[in-house]
Amino acid sequence: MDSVIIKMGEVKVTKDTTLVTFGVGSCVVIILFDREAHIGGMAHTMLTTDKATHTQMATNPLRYVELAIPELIKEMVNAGASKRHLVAYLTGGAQMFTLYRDPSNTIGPSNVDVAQRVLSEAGIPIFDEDVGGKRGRNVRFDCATGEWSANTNG
Amino acid sequence: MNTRLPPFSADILREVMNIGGAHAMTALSRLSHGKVMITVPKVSLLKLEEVMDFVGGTEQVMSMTIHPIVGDISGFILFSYAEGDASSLASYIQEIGGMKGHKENFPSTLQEIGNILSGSCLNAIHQFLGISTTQSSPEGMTDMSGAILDSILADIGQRADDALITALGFREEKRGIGGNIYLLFDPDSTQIVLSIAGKKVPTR
Repeated sequence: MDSVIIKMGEVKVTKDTTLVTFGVGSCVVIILFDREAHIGGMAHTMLTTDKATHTQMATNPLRYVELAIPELIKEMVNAGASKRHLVAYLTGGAQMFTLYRDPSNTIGPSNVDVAQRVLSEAGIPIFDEDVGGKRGRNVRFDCATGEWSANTNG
Repeated sequence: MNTRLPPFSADILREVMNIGGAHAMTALSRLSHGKVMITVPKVSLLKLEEVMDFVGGTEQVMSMTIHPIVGDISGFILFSYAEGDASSLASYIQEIGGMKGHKENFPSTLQEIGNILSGSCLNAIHQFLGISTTQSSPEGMTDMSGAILDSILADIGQRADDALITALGFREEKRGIGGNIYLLFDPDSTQIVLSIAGKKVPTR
């Protein structure tokens, strides 16, 4: 079966197929799933919010957790999912290394915190999560069965 | 932010990378007692997401050492090797240093090699541009390239919407050990580099 590949900064929604994304480090991957309709969606986000461009629109708003989750919900509903049925799966947010030896530089964990908050505000329960750690992950979600995996490499 | 490089700036950055990269590889050549070939540098101003394709995808397991630059200009120097090449290089340099087969020390050996090479690279850039920077302590890791790079891009992404990346490939001839050097400047630093270097390049 064909898989739908999601790159960093992308949001995609599909029915009955498998969603995959590779090499997730401090990025956080948010998966939404409607078990009844077999519709699943994935967002591969890099940063919590748009701090860089402020008033200007960033070239890619889907890079940001705070902007990508509402878009993912919208696309799920447009594809026929029912918002009441949505559950979330969360992964990524590793702390790969400490840049500048600065312990406050915690992009991965911050991404996870914000994703949890935005999902909770949207009233979407987190069904399962595999977050943090120090290793990169490959993420796979099967929209036909709801089975998923987030494997580290080596 | 202007997402296009001003005229000649790619040439200038390529020249900066040529100077820095050539010095780094001279250092590698001395370390390895062998000839090192380098490629013509590539320069691209990219959306953060496009950097992954520029470095060859996200899935492949790579060994990288990451050397943050702080001072008059800031950014990163990265040395990237295929997993096997990284082990060969670390093992070979250990052998030359008379301490063969300390596998557990491969990561620190690679970081030390990276320190020497990035030091040579930065030193040459300092002399060329007349600026002063220091290297922050390096990080080394082996993982999927996407997972390593997204943390670096996220750091740049807190200050910028796109990234200017300069790349140079190298191959040590005796052992066939290959790798890439990436130079990533912060946007403000890129402007400084372009403005200083621009004055050194005769305009047509």
